[in-house]
Amino acid sequence: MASRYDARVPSLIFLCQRVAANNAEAITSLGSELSFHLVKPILERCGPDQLVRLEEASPHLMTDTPDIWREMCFQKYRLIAEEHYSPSDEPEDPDSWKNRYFFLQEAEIKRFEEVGSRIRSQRMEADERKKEREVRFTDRVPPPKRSRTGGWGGAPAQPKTLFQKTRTEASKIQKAFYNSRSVPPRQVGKTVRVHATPDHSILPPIPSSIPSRVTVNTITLPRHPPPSGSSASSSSPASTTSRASPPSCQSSSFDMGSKGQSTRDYMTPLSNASSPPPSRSSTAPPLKSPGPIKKDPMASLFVPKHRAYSQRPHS
Amino acid sequence: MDVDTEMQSATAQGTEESKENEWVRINSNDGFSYLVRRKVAQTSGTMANMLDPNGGYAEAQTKICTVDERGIVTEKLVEYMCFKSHYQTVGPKEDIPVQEMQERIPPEIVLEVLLAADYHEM
Repeated sequence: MASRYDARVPSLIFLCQRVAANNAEAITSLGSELSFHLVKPILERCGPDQLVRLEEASPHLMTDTPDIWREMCFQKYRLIAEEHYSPSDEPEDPDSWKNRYFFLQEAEIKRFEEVGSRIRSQRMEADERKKEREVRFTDRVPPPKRSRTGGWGGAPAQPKTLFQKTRTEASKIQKAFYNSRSVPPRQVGKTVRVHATPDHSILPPIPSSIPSRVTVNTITLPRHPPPSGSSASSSSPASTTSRASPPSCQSSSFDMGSKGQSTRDYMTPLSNASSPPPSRSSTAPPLKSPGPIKKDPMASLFVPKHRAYSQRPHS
Repeated sequence: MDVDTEMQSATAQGTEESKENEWVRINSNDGFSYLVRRKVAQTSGTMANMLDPNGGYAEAQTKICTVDERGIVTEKLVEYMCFKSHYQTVGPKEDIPVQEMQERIPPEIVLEVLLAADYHEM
Protein backbone atom coordinates (compact mmCIF):
# COMPACT_ATOMS: atom_id res chain seq x y z
CA MET A 1 0.00 0.00 0.00
CA ALA A 2 2.54 2.47 1.10
CA SER A 3 4.85 3.55 -1.65
CA ARG A 4 8.11 1.81 -1.26
CA TYR A 5 11.43 3.43 -1.88
CA ASP A 6 13.42 0.34 -1.13
CA ALA A 7 15.59 1.03 -4.12
CA ARG A 8 17.12 3.86 -2.17
CA VAL A 9 17.74 1.87 0.97
CA PRO A 10 20.58 -0.59 0.50
CA SER A 11 20.12 -4.16 1.68
CA LEU A 12 21.63 -5.49 4.87
CA ILE A 13 23.61 -7.93 2.76
CA PHE A 14 25.13 -5.04 0.91
CA LEU A 15 26.00 -3.20 4.11
CA CYS A 16 27.53 -6.29 5.68
CA GLN A 17 29.62 -6.93 2.60
CA ARG A 18 30.91 -3.40 2.77
CA VAL A 19 31.85 -3.62 6.42
CA ALA A 20 33.51 -7.02 6.02
CA ALA A 21 35.48 -5.92 2.94
CA ASN A 22 36.78 -2.91 4.83
CA ASN A 23 38.11 -5.30 7.45
CA ALA A 24 39.11 -8.10 5.11
CA GLU A 25 42.60 -8.44 6.53
CA ALA A 26 41.20 -9.07 10.01
CA ILE A 27 39.07 -12.04 8.99
CA THR A 28 40.52 -15.36 10.02
CA SER A 29 37.97 -17.60 8.38
CA LEU A 30 34.85 -17.35 6.27
CA GLY A 31 33.49 -20.57 7.64
CA SER A 32 31.74 -23.23 5.66
CA GLU A 33 28.29 -21.69 5.32
CA LEU A 34 28.95 -18.52 3.45
CA SER A 35 28.62 -19.03 -0.26
CA PHE A 36 31.04 -17.61 -2.76
CA HIS A 37 28.69 -14.98 -4.16
CA LEU A 38 28.22 -13.52 -0.69
CA VAL A 39 31.93 -13.22 0.08
CA LYS A 40 33.19 -12.33 -3.36
CA PRO A 41 33.53 -8.60 -2.60
CA ILE A 42 35.52 -9.49 0.51
CA LEU A 43 37.94 -11.78 -1.33
CA GLU A 44 38.52 -9.20 -4.00
CA ARG A 45 39.72 -6.83 -1.36
CA CYS A 46 42.22 -9.26 0.14
CA GLY A 47 45.93 -9.35 -0.48
CA PRO A 48 47.47 -12.50 -1.98
CA ASP A 49 48.58 -13.92 1.36
CA GLN A 50 45.20 -13.32 2.97
CA LEU A 51 43.50 -14.89 0.00
CA VAL A 52 45.56 -18.02 0.43
CA ARG A 53 44.67 -18.17 4.14
CA LEU A 54 40.95 -17.82 3.52
CA GLU A 55 41.05 -20.38 0.76
CA GLU A 56 42.66 -22.86 3.09
CA ALA A 57 40.07 -22.15 5.84
CA SER A 58 37.15 -22.51 3.47
CA PRO A 59 38.14 -24.92 0.71
CA HIS A 60 34.72 -24.76 -0.92
CA LEU A 61 35.65 -21.30 -2.13
CA MET A 62 38.58 -22.53 -4.14
CA THR A 63 36.47 -23.52 -7.08
CA ASP A 64 35.64 -19.92 -7.72
CA THR A 65 38.85 -18.12 -6.76
CA PRO A 66 40.84 -18.52 -10.02
CA ASP A 67 39.02 -15.51 -11.40
CA ILE A 68 40.21 -13.50 -8.47
CA TRP A 69 43.78 -14.68 -8.94
CA ARG A 70 43.67 -13.80 -12.59
CA GLU A 71 42.45 -10.32 -11.82
CA MET A 72 45.24 -9.97 -9.30
CA CYS A 73 47.86 -11.00 -11.84
CA PHE A 74 46.86 -8.38 -14.30
CA GLN A 75 46.29 -5.63 -11.82
CA LYS A 76 49.58 -5.90 -9.97
CA TYR A 77 52.02 -7.05 -12.58
CA ARG A 78 50.45 -5.83 -15.75
CA LEU A 79 53.54 -5.50 -17.91
CA ILE A 80 55.06 -8.85 -17.19
CA ALA A 81 51.71 -10.63 -17.10
CA GLU A 82 50.86 -9.39 -20.55
CA GLU A 83 54.19 -10.64 -21.77
CA HIS A 84 53.52 -14.13 -20.53
CA TYR A 85 49.79 -14.71 -20.45
CA SER A 86 46.59 -13.46 -22.00
CA PRO A 87 43.45 -12.72 -19.95
CA SER A 88 41.25 -15.13 -21.82
CA ASP A 89 43.56 -18.00 -21.10
CA GLU A 90 41.92 -21.07 -19.56
CA PRO A 91 44.73 -22.83 -17.78
CA GLU A 92 44.92 -26.59 -17.41
CA ASP A 93 44.92 -27.12 -13.69
CA PRO A 94 42.64 -25.18 -11.39
CA ASP A 95 45.34 -23.57 -9.31
CA SER A 96 47.34 -22.31 -12.13
CA TRP A 97 46.34 -18.65 -11.99
CA LYS A 98 47.36 -18.68 -8.37
CA ASN A 99 50.70 -20.26 -9.29
CA ARG A 100 51.17 -17.76 -12.05
CA TYR A 101 50.62 -14.94 -9.64
CA PHE A 102 53.44 -16.07 -7.38
CA PHE A 103 55.68 -16.72 -10.36
CA LEU A 104 55.10 -13.16 -11.52
CA GLN A 105 55.81 -11.90 -8.03
CA GLU A 106 59.23 -13.51 -8.02
CA ALA A 107 60.00 -12.29 -11.53
CA GLU A 108 59.15 -8.77 -10.47
CA ILE A 109 61.44 -8.96 -7.44
CA LYS A 110 64.28 -10.16 -9.61
CA ARG A 111 63.75 -7.36 -12.09
CA PHE A 112 63.78 -4.77 -9.32
CA GLU A 113 67.02 -6.15 -7.99
CA GLU A 114 68.66 -5.98 -11.39
CA VAL A 115 67.55 -2.43 -11.97
CA GLY A 116 68.54 -1.45 -8.46
CA SER A 117 72.02 -2.87 -8.78
CA ARG A 118 72.48 -1.20 -12.13
CA ILE A 119 71.48 2.15 -10.69
CA ARG A 120 73.73 1.56 -7.71
CA SER A 121 76.74 0.79 -9.87
CA GLN A 122 76.08 3.82 -12.05
CA ARG A 123 75.84 6.00 -8.99
CA MET A 124 79.11 4.61 -7.63
CA GLU A 125 80.85 5.26 -10.93
CA ALA A 126 79.58 8.80 -10.93
CA ASP A 127 80.78 9.22 -7.37
CA GLU A 128 84.21 7.94 -8.28
CA ARG A 129 84.49 10.29 -11.20
CA LYS A 130 83.45 13.09 -8.91
CA LYS A 131 86.09 12.08 -6.38
CA GLU A 132 88.81 12.26 -8.97
CA ARG A 133 87.96 15.80 -9.75
CA GLU A 134 87.83 17.02 -6.20
CA VAL A 135 90.62 18.93 -4.51
CA ARG A 136 92.99 16.69 -2.58
CA PHE A 137 96.06 17.13 -0.42
CA THR A 138 99.19 15.92 -2.10
CA ASP A 139 102.92 16.53 -2.05
CA ARG A 140 103.56 15.75 -5.66
CA VAL A 141 103.90 18.65 -8.02
CA PRO A 142 101.88 18.23 -11.20
CA PRO A 143 103.81 18.55 -14.47
CA PRO A 144 104.06 22.09 -15.90
CA LYS A 145 101.40 22.99 -18.39
CA ARG A 146 103.64 24.26 -21.15
CA SER A 147 107.30 23.75 -21.94
CA ARG A 148 109.65 26.61 -21.43
CA THR A 149 110.86 27.16 -24.94
CA GLY A 150 108.19 25.41 -26.90
CA GLY A 151 110.80 23.94 -29.20
CA TRP A 152 111.00 20.74 -27.22
CA GLY A 153 108.80 17.69 -27.46
CA GLY A 154 107.11 18.23 -24.11
CA ALA A 155 107.58 18.71 -20.37
CA PRO A 156 110.26 16.63 -18.65
CA ALA A 157 109.12 13.37 -17.13
CA GLN A 158 109.85 14.44 -13.58
CA PRO A 159 110.31 17.84 -12.09
CA LYS A 160 114.00 18.65 -11.89
CA THR A 161 115.57 19.31 -8.56
CA LEU A 162 117.72 22.36 -8.13
CA PHE A 163 120.88 20.27 -8.20
CA GLN A 164 119.85 18.69 -11.47
CA LYS A 165 119.12 22.08 -12.92
CA THR A 166 122.55 23.29 -11.88
CA ARG A 167 124.22 20.36 -13.53
CA THR A 168 122.38 20.78 -16.79
CA GLU A 169 123.21 24.46 -16.84
CA ALA A 170 126.87 23.76 -16.12
CA SER A 171 127.09 21.21 -18.92
CA LYS A 172 125.44 23.65 -21.28
CA ILE A 173 127.97 26.27 -20.33
CA GLN A 174 130.85 23.92 -20.95
CA LYS A 175 129.56 22.97 -24.37
CA ALA A 176 129.03 26.55 -25.36
CA PHE A 177 132.43 27.47 -24.07
CA TYR A 178 134.35 24.87 -26.05
CA ASN A 179 132.36 25.19 -29.20
CA SER A 180 132.89 28.93 -29.47
CA ARG A 181 135.91 30.25 -31.37
CA SER A 182 137.12 32.61 -28.71
CA VAL A 183 134.62 35.14 -29.87
CA PRO A 184 134.29 37.59 -27.05
CA PRO A 185 130.77 37.52 -25.69
CA ARG A 186 128.67 40.60 -26.04
CA GLN A 187 127.65 42.29 -22.90
CA VAL A 188 124.32 43.95 -23.52
CA GLY A 189 123.62 46.32 -20.70
CA LYS A 190 122.72 44.48 -17.57
CA THR A 191 121.25 41.46 -19.21
CA VAL A 192 122.40 38.40 -17.41
CA ARG A 193 123.50 35.80 -19.84
CA VAL A 194 124.37 32.47 -18.49
CA HIS A 195 125.91 30.81 -21.50
CA ALA A 196 128.25 33.31 -23.07
CA THR A 197 130.66 34.33 -20.32
CA PRO A 198 133.06 31.59 -19.62
CA ASP A 199 135.49 32.26 -16.84
CA HIS A 200 138.54 30.14 -16.93
CA SER A 201 139.55 31.15 -13.45
CA ILE A 202 136.62 29.20 -12.05
CA LEU A 203 136.45 26.51 -14.60
CA PRO A 204 138.62 23.53 -13.94
CA PRO A 205 141.91 23.37 -15.78
CA ILE A 206 141.50 22.18 -19.26
CA PRO A 207 142.29 18.55 -19.50
CA SER A 208 144.48 17.59 -22.36
CA SER A 209 142.05 15.00 -23.55
CA ILE A 210 139.59 17.54 -24.87
CA PRO A 211 140.08 17.83 -28.61
CA SER A 212 140.21 21.30 -29.99
CA ARG A 213 141.62 23.19 -32.89
CA VAL A 214 143.85 25.24 -30.72
CA THR A 215 147.23 23.75 -30.10
CA VAL A 216 149.20 24.97 -27.19
CA ASN A 217 152.89 24.85 -27.24
CA THR A 218 155.03 26.59 -24.73
CA ILE A 219 158.18 28.04 -26.30
CA THR A 220 161.24 29.56 -24.76
CA LEU A 221 163.31 31.42 -27.20
CA PRO A 222 167.03 31.96 -26.49
CA ARG A 223 167.86 35.54 -25.60
CA HIS A 224 171.60 35.62 -26.48
CA PRO A 225 173.56 37.10 -29.29
CA PRO A 226 173.69 34.90 -32.23
CA PRO A 227 176.60 32.50 -32.36
CA SER A 228 179.14 32.23 -35.23
CA GLY A 229 177.93 32.03 -38.65
CA SER A 230 177.99 28.33 -39.15
CA SER A 231 176.16 27.55 -36.04
CA ALA A 232 173.79 30.37 -36.71
CA SER A 233 172.82 29.02 -40.00
CA SER A 234 172.34 25.64 -38.57
CA SER A 235 170.44 26.87 -35.62
CA SER A 236 168.27 29.22 -37.49
CA PRO A 237 166.34 26.62 -39.36
CA ALA A 238 166.10 24.75 -36.10
CA SER A 239 164.76 27.72 -34.35
CA THR A 240 162.33 28.51 -37.02
CA THR A 241 161.02 25.02 -37.19
CA SER A 242 160.81 24.69 -33.47
CA ARG A 243 158.89 27.85 -33.23
CA ALA A 244 155.38 26.77 -34.03
CA SER A 245 154.04 30.21 -33.89
CA PRO A 246 150.70 30.81 -32.17
CA PRO A 247 148.15 32.34 -34.49
CA SER A 248 148.10 35.57 -32.62
CA CYS A 249 151.89 36.04 -32.85
CA GLN A 250 153.68 37.05 -35.83
CA SER A 251 153.55 33.94 -37.87
CA SER A 252 155.19 35.12 -40.99
CA SER A 253 157.90 32.78 -42.02
CA PHE A 254 161.24 34.23 -42.22
CA ASP A 255 162.90 33.28 -45.30
CA MET A 256 166.15 31.89 -44.03
CA GLY A 257 167.33 30.78 -47.28
CA SER A 258 170.84 29.75 -47.64
CA LYS A 259 172.37 33.08 -47.42
CA GLY A 260 175.12 32.74 -45.02
CA GLN A 261 175.83 36.26 -44.24
CA SER A 262 172.44 37.60 -44.35
CA THR A 263 171.32 35.18 -41.73
CA ARG A 264 173.05 37.09 -39.16
CA ASP A 265 171.20 40.17 -40.11
CA TYR A 266 168.03 38.30 -40.16
CA MET A 267 168.68 36.67 -36.89
CA THR A 268 169.09 39.86 -35.00
CA PRO A 269 165.91 41.45 -35.99
CA LEU A 270 164.37 38.07 -35.63
CA SER A 271 165.56 37.67 -32.13
CA ASN A 272 164.50 41.19 -31.36
CA ALA A 273 161.21 40.72 -33.01
CA SER A 274 160.55 37.46 -31.45
CA SER A 275 161.36 38.46 -27.95
CA PRO A 276 158.29 40.42 -27.26
CA PRO A 277 155.90 37.78 -28.58
CA PRO A 278 157.31 34.95 -26.42
CA SER A 279 157.22 37.15 -23.40
CA ARG A 280 153.71 37.96 -24.12
CA SER A 281 152.73 34.48 -24.87
CA SER A 282 154.51 32.91 -21.93
CA THR A 283 153.19 35.25 -19.37
CA ALA A 284 149.79 35.44 -20.84
CA PRO A 285 147.49 32.47 -20.31
CA PRO A 286 147.35 29.99 -23.15
CA LEU A 287 143.92 31.10 -24.25
CA LYS A 288 142.78 34.55 -24.84
CA SER A 289 140.89 36.07 -22.01
CA PRO A 290 137.51 37.44 -22.93
CA GLY A 291 137.89 40.52 -20.85
CA PRO A 292 137.13 41.77 -17.39
CA ILE A 293 134.20 40.13 -15.73
CA LYS A 294 132.24 42.00 -13.21
CA LYS A 295 129.77 39.39 -11.95
CA ASP A 296 130.12 35.82 -10.82
CA PRO A 297 128.25 33.99 -13.55
CA MET A 298 127.67 30.87 -11.51
CA ALA A 299 125.57 32.93 -9.20
CA SER A 300 123.49 33.99 -12.15
CA LEU A 301 122.42 30.41 -12.67
CA PHE A 302 119.98 30.73 -9.83
CA VAL A 303 118.54 34.01 -10.86
CA PRO A 304 115.32 33.85 -12.82
CA LYS A 305 115.72 34.89 -16.37
CA HIS A 306 112.92 37.37 -16.39
CA ARG A 307 113.62 40.54 -14.62
CA ALA A 308 110.10 40.63 -13.39
CA TYR A 309 110.55 37.58 -11.21
CA SER A 310 113.96 38.57 -9.99
CA GLN A 311 114.20 39.87 -6.50
CA ARG A 312 117.28 41.84 -7.38
CA PRO A 313 116.89 45.56 -7.73
CA HIS A 314 115.82 46.48 -11.20
CA SER A 315 117.80 49.64 -11.58
CA MET B 1 -25.74 -8.24 2.50
CA ASP B 2 -24.16 -5.33 0.87
CA VAL B 3 -23.72 -3.83 4.22
CA ASP B 4 -22.16 -7.05 5.36
CA THR B 5 -19.72 -7.16 2.50
CA GLU B 6 -18.96 -3.56 3.01
CA MET B 7 -18.57 -4.19 6.63
CA GLN B 8 -16.47 -7.17 5.83
CA SER B 9 -14.36 -5.29 3.38
CA ALA B 10 -14.12 -2.45 5.81
CA THR B 11 -13.08 -4.75 8.56
CA ALA B 12 -10.83 -6.51 6.16
CA GLN B 13 -9.27 -3.23 5.34
CA GLY B 14 -9.17 -2.25 8.93
CA THR B 15 -7.79 -5.59 9.75
CA GLU B 16 -5.14 -5.08 7.17
CA GLU B 17 -4.21 -1.81 8.64
CA SER B 18 -4.63 -2.96 12.13
CA LYS B 19 -2.78 -6.06 11.28
CA GLU B 20 0.00 -3.95 10.06
CA ASN B 21 0.14 -2.35 13.44
CA GLU B 22 0.01 -5.58 15.26
CA TRP B 23 2.82 -6.51 17.43
CA VAL B 24 4.73 -9.60 16.54
CA ARG B 25 7.45 -11.23 18.53
CA ILE B 26 10.89 -12.15 17.25
CA ASN B 27 12.91 -14.52 19.43
CA SER B 28 16.61 -15.28 19.31
CA ASN B 29 18.00 -18.73 20.05
CA ASP B 30 19.51 -17.71 23.39
CA GLY B 31 16.37 -16.31 25.07
CA PHE B 32 16.16 -12.75 23.84
CA SER B 33 12.81 -11.47 22.56
CA TYR B 34 11.89 -8.43 20.48
CA LEU B 35 8.46 -6.98 19.85
CA VAL B 36 7.97 -5.13 16.56
CA ARG B 37 5.13 -4.03 14.42
CA ARG B 38 4.18 -6.54 11.80
CA LYS B 39 5.00 -3.99 9.18
CA VAL B 40 8.54 -3.85 10.40
CA ALA B 41 8.81 -7.63 10.50
CA GLN B 42 7.67 -7.76 6.95
CA THR B 43 10.90 -6.06 5.86
CA SER B 44 12.24 -9.57 5.95
CA GLY B 45 10.77 -11.64 3.17
CA THR B 46 11.19 -14.82 5.17
CA MET B 47 9.46 -13.43 8.22
CA ALA B 48 6.69 -11.99 6.17
CA ASN B 49 6.03 -15.47 4.84
CA MET B 50 6.26 -17.00 8.28
CA LEU B 51 3.76 -14.60 9.73
CA ASP B 52 1.41 -14.74 6.79
CA PRO B 53 -1.77 -16.45 7.84
CA ASN B 54 -2.12 -17.83 4.33
CA GLY B 55 1.31 -19.27 4.46
CA GLY B 56 0.44 -22.19 6.58
CA TYR B 57 3.23 -21.73 9.03
CA ALA B 58 2.66 -22.13 12.72
CA GLU B 59 4.14 -18.71 13.34
CA ALA B 60 1.13 -17.16 11.72
CA GLN B 61 -0.99 -18.32 14.62
CA THR B 62 1.43 -17.52 17.38
CA LYS B 63 2.83 -14.43 15.76
CA ILE B 64 6.22 -15.39 17.01
CA CYS B 65 9.23 -15.72 14.70
CA THR B 66 12.24 -17.58 15.98
CA VAL B 67 15.57 -16.55 14.53
CA ASP B 68 18.29 -19.14 14.88
CA GLU B 69 20.91 -16.61 15.81
CA ARG B 70 22.37 -15.15 18.96
CA GLY B 71 20.62 -12.24 20.64
CA ILE B 72 23.19 -9.72 19.54
CA VAL B 73 22.84 -10.77 15.93
CA THR B 74 19.03 -10.85 16.13
CA GLU B 75 19.03 -7.39 17.62
CA LYS B 76 21.07 -6.10 14.69
CA LEU B 77 18.56 -7.65 12.32
CA VAL B 78 15.68 -5.97 14.11
CA GLU B 79 17.54 -2.70 14.11
CA TYR B 80 18.01 -2.86 10.40
CA MET B 81 14.39 -3.76 9.86
CA CYS B 82 13.28 -0.70 11.77
CA PHE B 83 15.71 1.44 9.80
CA LYS B 84 14.55 0.19 6.48
CA SER B 85 10.83 0.22 7.16
CA HIS B 86 11.07 3.80 8.32
CA TYR B 87 13.10 5.19 5.43
CA GLN B 88 11.21 3.31 2.81
CA THR B 89 8.36 5.76 3.15
CA VAL B 90 10.20 9.07 3.32
CA GLY B 91 10.03 11.51 0.45
CA PRO B 92 12.72 11.78 -2.24
CA LYS B 93 14.09 14.96 -0.75
CA GLU B 94 15.21 13.44 2.52
CA ASP B 95 18.68 11.99 2.90
CA ILE B 96 18.95 8.46 4.19
CA PRO B 97 21.74 7.99 6.75
CA VAL B 98 23.11 4.81 5.27
CA GLN B 99 26.60 5.41 6.60
CA GLU B 100 25.25 5.61 10.12
CA MET B 101 23.57 2.29 9.76
CA GLN B 102 26.71 0.81 8.33
CA GLU B 103 28.74 2.11 11.20
CA ARG B 104 26.40 0.47 13.62
CA ILE B 105 27.44 -2.97 12.40
CA PRO B 106 30.49 -4.07 14.41
CA PRO B 107 33.03 -6.04 12.36
CA GLU B 108 33.13 -8.71 15.07
CA ILE B 109 29.67 -9.96 14.17
CA VAL B 110 29.45 -8.83 10.58
CA LEU B 111 29.90 -12.28 9.08
CA GLU B 112 27.13 -13.74 11.23
CA VAL B 113 24.85 -10.86 10.38
CA LEU B 114 25.72 -11.34 6.74
CA LEU B 115 24.73 -14.98 6.92
CA ALA B 116 21.48 -14.23 8.75
CA ALA B 117 20.63 -11.36 6.45
CA ASP B 118 21.06 -13.63 3.50
CA TYR B 119 18.82 -16.29 5.04
CA HIS B 120 16.09 -13.83 5.98
CA GLU B 121 16.17 -12.09 2.66
CA MET B 122 16.94 -8.68 3.87
